[in-house]
Amino acid sequence: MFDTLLLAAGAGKRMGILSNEVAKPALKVGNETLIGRLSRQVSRLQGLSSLYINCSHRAESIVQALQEQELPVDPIFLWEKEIMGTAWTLSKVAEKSTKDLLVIHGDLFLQYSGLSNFVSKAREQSTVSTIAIHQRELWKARSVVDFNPYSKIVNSIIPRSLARNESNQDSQSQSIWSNSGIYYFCSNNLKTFKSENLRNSLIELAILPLIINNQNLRALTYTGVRYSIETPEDLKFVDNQGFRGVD
Amino acid sequence: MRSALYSLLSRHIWLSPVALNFASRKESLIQGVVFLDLDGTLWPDNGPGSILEIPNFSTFLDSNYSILGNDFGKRRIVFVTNQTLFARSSTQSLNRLLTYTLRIIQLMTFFRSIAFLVCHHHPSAKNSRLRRACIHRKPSSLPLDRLYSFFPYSKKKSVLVGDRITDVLSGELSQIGKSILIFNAKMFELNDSIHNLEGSYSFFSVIPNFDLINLEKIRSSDV
Repeated sequence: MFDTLLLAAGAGKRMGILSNEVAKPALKVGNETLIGRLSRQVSRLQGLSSLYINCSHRAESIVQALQEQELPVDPIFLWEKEIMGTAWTLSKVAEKSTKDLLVIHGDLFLQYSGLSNFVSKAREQSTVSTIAIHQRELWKARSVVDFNPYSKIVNSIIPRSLARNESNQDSQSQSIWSNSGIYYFCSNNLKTFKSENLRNSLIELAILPLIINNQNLRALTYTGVRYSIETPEDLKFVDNQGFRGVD
Repeated sequence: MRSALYSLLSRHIWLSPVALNFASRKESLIQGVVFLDLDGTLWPDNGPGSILEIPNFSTFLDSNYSILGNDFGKRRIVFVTNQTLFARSSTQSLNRLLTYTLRIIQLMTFFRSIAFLVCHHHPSAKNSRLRRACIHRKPSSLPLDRLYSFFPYSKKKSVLVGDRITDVLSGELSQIGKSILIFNAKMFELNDSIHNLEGSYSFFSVIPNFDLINLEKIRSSDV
C-alpha cells in the first residue's frame, strides 16, 4: 500500500493572468482540470491508500476541481496559509502517513499507462526511493539528475540554474537527464525529516540530497506521455494539438 | 435580568448535566467527540443571528436531524461556534437574548450534547460589552483544549465539522483526529480573523453539505 501527494499549492506565476483567479492545476485541458485528471489517474493505481492534495494559492479552485471529480477515495487536503515549500509539505504528509509516498507535481499532464508503469517498477524495491527522469533540453529542465547508468543510483541533483552555468555548450541545444517531478519515496526514507527545518525548501534541494547521501535514490526513465504545463503556450499546445483522447 | 444574560454571554463553555456527570466521575470519552459548528453547518449561514431566523426551531431539528438526534454512534456531540449576533448591534432586546438562550438549550437537549463552546466577542463589536480580541474565538484551539481539561476525550478519535477554514484550523491546532470542511464559496475566507495566522496549515476532508448521507459516513468512519 502507498499514499499519494499531489502538489498543487504553487502560485503559477508563469501562467500570467490565467492563474489569477484559478490555481494552475485547476486549469482545464479539454473538459477536465489538470488536478482532476491526475487524481482520477492516481485513484486507478493498485495499492493506493490515501490521496493528499496540498493547496494555498486560490485553494478554493483546487477543492472545487476535486468536488467535480467523482473519485473512489476521499481526498485529504492540506491547506497552507502561505506557500510553505514542497519539502515542508512532503514532511508534513510523511508525519501523518506510515506508508510509501508517491509525489507528483500538480501541473503535469500524464498518460495513465506511463504513471502506472513507473509506480509498479518503483514498488519493486521496498527500501530504495525512486525519481522519474526524462531527456530534456537543459534550458527547460526542472533540475538535472546525475546518475550511474549501470546501477541507476543517483549521484546528485543539480539545480537548473547551476547546471546551466556549469555547461560550456549551448544550453539551448544540450539534452540532459531531467527530474520529471514524480517521486516514489519508501517509508523508511521519510522518517528522519522534520518539517520545522524545511520551511520554504524544495524537495529536490532539501529532501533528495539526504536520500542520495545514503545511496537510497535510484533513477527510472519515465515512459509515456508527460507534459509539464509551465506557460500559457504549454496549456494551449496540450489542449489543441497534443494529447486529446490520451487516457 | 439583562445583566444576568450578559454574564451568560460572557461564558465560553456551557456544560450540560451529562458533562458534569462525566467530569465528576473523571471518566474519559474514549470514543472521542464530534465538534460541530452551527451557522453554515447545521443550517445555512445567513450572517450573524442565523439561529434566530429559523422558524419553528424544534420542527427544523426534527425534520433535518432526527437520526442524528437519536443516535450518533458512541461519539458525544459538542458545539463550537463564534456567534457575533449580539456583538453586531449596540442595543439588545431582552426577548432576543432569551430566545437565543432557549434555542441553545433546545439544541443541546436535542443532540444530547455535552457542551456548547462559544465566543460572543468581536474585536470591532458595536456593543462595547462584547468588544474584545478574545482568545476563545476560532481559530483558537483554547475552547477545545479547555474542554479537554474538564474531561479528557480521545483527540485522535474525534471529528470536527465546520464550514470555514478557521474551524478546521482550531481542530488542527488542538490535534483533533479528523477535520471536515463543508464545501462553500466562503470556505477560505479569513476576513475577521484576529489571530496571527502566519505559517498556519490544516489537513481536512471536504463534503458537499452536512446531510444524512455524509453524516452516516462520518459516524461509521474510524477517524
